Amino acid sequence: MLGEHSDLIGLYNAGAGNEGIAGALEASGRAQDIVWIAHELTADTRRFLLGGVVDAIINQIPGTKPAPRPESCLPLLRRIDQSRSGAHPHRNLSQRQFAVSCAAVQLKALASIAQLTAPTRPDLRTFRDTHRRRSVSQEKLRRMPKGTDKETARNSDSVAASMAR
Amino acid sequence: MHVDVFDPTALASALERLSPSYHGVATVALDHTRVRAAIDDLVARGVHVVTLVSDAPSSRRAHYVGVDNPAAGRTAASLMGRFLGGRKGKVGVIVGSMSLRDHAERHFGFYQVLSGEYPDLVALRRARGATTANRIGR
Repeated sequence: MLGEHSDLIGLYNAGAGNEGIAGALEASGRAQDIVWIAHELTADTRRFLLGGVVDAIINQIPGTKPAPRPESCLPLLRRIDQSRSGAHPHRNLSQRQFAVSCAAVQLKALASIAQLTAPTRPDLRTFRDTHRRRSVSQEKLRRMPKGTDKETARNSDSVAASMAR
Repeated sequence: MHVDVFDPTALASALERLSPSYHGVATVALDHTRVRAAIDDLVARGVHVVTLVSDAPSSRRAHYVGVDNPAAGRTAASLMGRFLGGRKGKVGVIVGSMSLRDHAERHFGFYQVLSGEYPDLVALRRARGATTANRIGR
């Protein structure tokens, strides 16, 4: 797929086999250019997430309570957007990566992932710099839960979104 | 009990061979004629069957336990569109098997949102089976 489509900019894996995809992306040298979204937070996909190879993991965590209403994600999304726009660049979200979850119970675990990415790295640029090209307006972020994640949230499906790279 | 998740014959056979001593069965279901028939046979003899992760809704299983997969696919497309923030280009889509309803439903939800809300992003025809690096690297 990578060889046939030099203009491939995104990749969605609805199934398993993420190890193979990570290997192929890294071998092609395009891992940092292609936005890759996959499912299931595992030891492997977590590593890919932290390494910036995968950009978002959509996770299902059995046994968790039904998620709060999607609107409860809005404060977090606004903070992300403020961080992007530079309004609060030194908040916790100024790291290279962070995680979003619609389920409060999962937020804590995912927040710890975000903190793990905080240690300084030589190539670490500010969140604002790295994400300028992907900036999303606040208005768009406000729209995010509407119509997209309602059922997802109801089913405790969480979104671990790493705005990597 | 482990069965190849992509092999409907193997899964159906495993369900058919289950000991009569079981009162309940939970299975990651393939949405395939043989698997549905095997589930229905179990239910007919009084076994309670639930599907996990991937459903076979037209079978007689009692319940499905798992997430809303079309919504998960729509979420993925929404994130893809936002991350790519106005860029134009192709997006590859990979599924393990369209007989696995969770994959098929995610695929459906992804196309629904990507084609409807992000016209600058063109989803390629789905590629099957990403268990090796070869298919993706080619």
